[in-house]
Amino acid sequence: MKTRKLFAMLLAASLIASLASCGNSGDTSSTGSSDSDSQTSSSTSDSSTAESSTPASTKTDSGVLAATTDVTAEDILARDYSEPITISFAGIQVTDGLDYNHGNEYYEWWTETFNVEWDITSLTFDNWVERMNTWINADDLPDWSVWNFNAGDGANYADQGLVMEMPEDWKTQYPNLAAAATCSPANEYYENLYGGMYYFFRPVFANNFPSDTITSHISMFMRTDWAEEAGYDLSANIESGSISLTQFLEYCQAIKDAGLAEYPWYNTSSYVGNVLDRVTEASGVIQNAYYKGDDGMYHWGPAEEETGVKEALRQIKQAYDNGLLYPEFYTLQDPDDIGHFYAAGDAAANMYTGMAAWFDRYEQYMQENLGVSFWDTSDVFILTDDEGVAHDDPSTNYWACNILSPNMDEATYERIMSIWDYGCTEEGQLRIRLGVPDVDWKYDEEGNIVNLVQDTEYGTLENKYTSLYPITGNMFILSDDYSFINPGFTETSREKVTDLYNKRAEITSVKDEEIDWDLSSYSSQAMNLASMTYADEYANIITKDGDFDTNYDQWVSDKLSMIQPVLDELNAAFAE
Amino acid sequence: MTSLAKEKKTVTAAHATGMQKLAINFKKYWQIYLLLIPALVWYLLFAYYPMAGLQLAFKTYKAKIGIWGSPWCGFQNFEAVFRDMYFWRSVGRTLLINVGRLVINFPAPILVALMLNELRVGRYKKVMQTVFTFPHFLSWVVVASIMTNLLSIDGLVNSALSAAGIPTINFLGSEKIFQPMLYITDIWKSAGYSSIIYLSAISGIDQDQYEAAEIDGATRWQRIWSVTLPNILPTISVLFIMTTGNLMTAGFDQIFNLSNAATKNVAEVLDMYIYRITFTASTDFGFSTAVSLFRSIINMTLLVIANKGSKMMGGTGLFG
Repeated sequence: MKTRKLFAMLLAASLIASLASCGNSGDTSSTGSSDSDSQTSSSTSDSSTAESSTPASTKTDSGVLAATTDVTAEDILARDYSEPITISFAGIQVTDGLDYNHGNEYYEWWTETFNVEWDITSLTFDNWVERMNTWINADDLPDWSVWNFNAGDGANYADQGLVMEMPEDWKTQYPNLAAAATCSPANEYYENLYGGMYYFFRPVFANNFPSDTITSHISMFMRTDWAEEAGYDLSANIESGSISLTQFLEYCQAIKDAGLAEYPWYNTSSYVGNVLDRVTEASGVIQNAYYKGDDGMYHWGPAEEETGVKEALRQIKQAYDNGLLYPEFYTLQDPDDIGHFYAAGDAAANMYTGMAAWFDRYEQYMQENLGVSFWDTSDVFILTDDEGVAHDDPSTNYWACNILSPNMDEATYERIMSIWDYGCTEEGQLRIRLGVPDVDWKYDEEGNIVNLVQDTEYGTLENKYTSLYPITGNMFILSDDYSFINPGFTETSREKVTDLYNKRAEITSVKDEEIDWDLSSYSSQAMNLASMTYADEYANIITKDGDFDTNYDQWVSDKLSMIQPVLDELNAAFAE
Repeated sequence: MTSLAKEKKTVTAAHATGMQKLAINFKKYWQIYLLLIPALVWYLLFAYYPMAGLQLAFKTYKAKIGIWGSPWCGFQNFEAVFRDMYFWRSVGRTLLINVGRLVINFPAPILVALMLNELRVGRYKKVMQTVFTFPHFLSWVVVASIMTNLLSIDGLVNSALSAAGIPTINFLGSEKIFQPMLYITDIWKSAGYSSIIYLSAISGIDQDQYEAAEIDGATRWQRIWSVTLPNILPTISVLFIMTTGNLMTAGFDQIFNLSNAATKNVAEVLDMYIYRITFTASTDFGFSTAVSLFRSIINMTLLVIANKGSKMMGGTGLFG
């Protein structure tokens, strides 16, 4: 009897809920909300707020970014910072337990000069998206956060005012920042699209970029001494600075056959997926797998033979089955995989960040752990397809964006903006990258920068100031750019990284391709449902037993049931 | 008060309805009822009040105007959920894993309790109980780390296999091994702790029944079968019904930590699906709530069916 009553109550409640929802959905449509509300229009808003007077950035004699504005570093430092302010900050790459306020001269200069205390929350790559989304949706953002932008949420958050919209005068008030913002086209595009500046896309490269084409720096680190020992000739590759996937796997096979490594190639599933991205069109590991074909229609990379995804994956699967790739690569965490190269010494190759800082680290760690020099035993190569093309996506030149809480007071806003603005001046960049003037670096009589840390017990700025990153280091302009001229890195590393970029610019697939903003900024519920972690999907196919073709075709067929609605939407909206 | 009045009151009490009985009881034992207040407040605040958030399943969530102010969207979220084949796959996988748990894992604490109860030496019994209970207090992150160290290609088990000249086994990346691994780790972690409730039920059994059985010449096995098990059957019934009511909840912590890219196809249970949709794409709390509400309704239905079934078989029910 009681059960019947309980059911009756539940039934009544669900009916009321249904009626209420039906009734209100009508109200919703009458206020203009519709299905299309869940989609982000990709057409650029007519009401452009991007000011035509945006200051431009130029390269100075010392090669450092400086804005063509009248507001100098001295002007910024001369402002009134007498009121102490605590700024809450959330970002990844923050180390828990480190003091980012006191304890070293580097940080103390920032906290004392700008009279701030950092209240820091550390995020990891695992919880970054989850925590940021929770905070934003709870309207409880820290004052300053680093957010991994995605177009769907970006439009939604801007529309609701869950992130701060910059006041109209921000570009004139903080012109150095505005100049640096022009380095990433995403800043202007999304400012126009959303009708205001909500997201500060952090430029990967500003003015030190050695080539006109922006490409990826991800490269393949390989033991050249083992190649020699195994009788595999790498001389042509060393000359060109590049290696094709087929050659790379032949190299791994030679190393294995010679008994030099049980598993020559160690990488996380992300980097194994990254290999696919480097040798195919539109595999989806880093950028979208959707692309506009020559027919003017949108397609999904893995389903199209012309992209080469299936064949490249087949090669990797074969390598996995032959024991060239570490059998449990999908359980490896970054940087455990590269540790096998420079610390354990049982890996012949891995793919990783091809920046000067990392070349120096490989050198340091190999000397410390293996007693050999990285440069004597190894080299770095650009991975290409068998035609010698290095695949890249047209670059929006940013990695993650800075966002501000809409609830902060004006004083906090002004202080953060001043710090960013200063960080984008030449003086600010030198302080960020080289440390404290006259302590960590100085100008010699000829006006050249002399690094004073290099010959000390620390060797590098990172070793001296353990809390160097990420607040100042990655404040706005990211550190990649300065790799090329930073005397804090060895000359060998800087020359190598510059050489690789120049070589890559010649063989990259992007050249003069334009960014597909329609696609980049598109979002819908169908696209949400079709989202996946491509690196994990590929790792799953690589490790799956049975026939590769059957498994791959089955996977494509499964996914297409979710992908096709997205393609239909994209083609309906943007097909030519 | 006259005897007539007393008699009338007694009669009234005897014929009182449920509500009247409650009122009479409350008046009589109000101090004891007062003690219920903290628990009631807790339930209202943390169990019933959050249920208001379920309305999100029928809304397009707008954080700035909150749950109550967000616009209704009818059954749009449910339509999207039911269109997604990965949702149905995750439902199937959740049921498959949990039916397995019901068959394999549910009896485990009963067996542990029976075994512990049969131990004669008190100190040894306590030590064993502690050993069995301890893993419960380890988080799944720690357990996953232990499993990785044990079962990875360079782990303890594979090293032993290699040393013995036996080919190594890819434990962590095998879809076939994943489900058994869930059961084994779950039993290892939870059976000891869950057996406590059965042990307490066993300790409440009248000792005369054991003595009578012994006098009748019953063996140990017969005593377990004819005395212990029938006496703890009501406890088993209640816990079985409650477990059935959770068939659509497959233990996110465990699966999240033990799964990887190689086993993702067999690991995407409903909780993992919700997590993926909520946190790896654009945030859609309405969609996630719709999935959660669907799960709760299925769980509720299963609970009621199990309860009915238990009562039909002459066992104990949770309610009604």
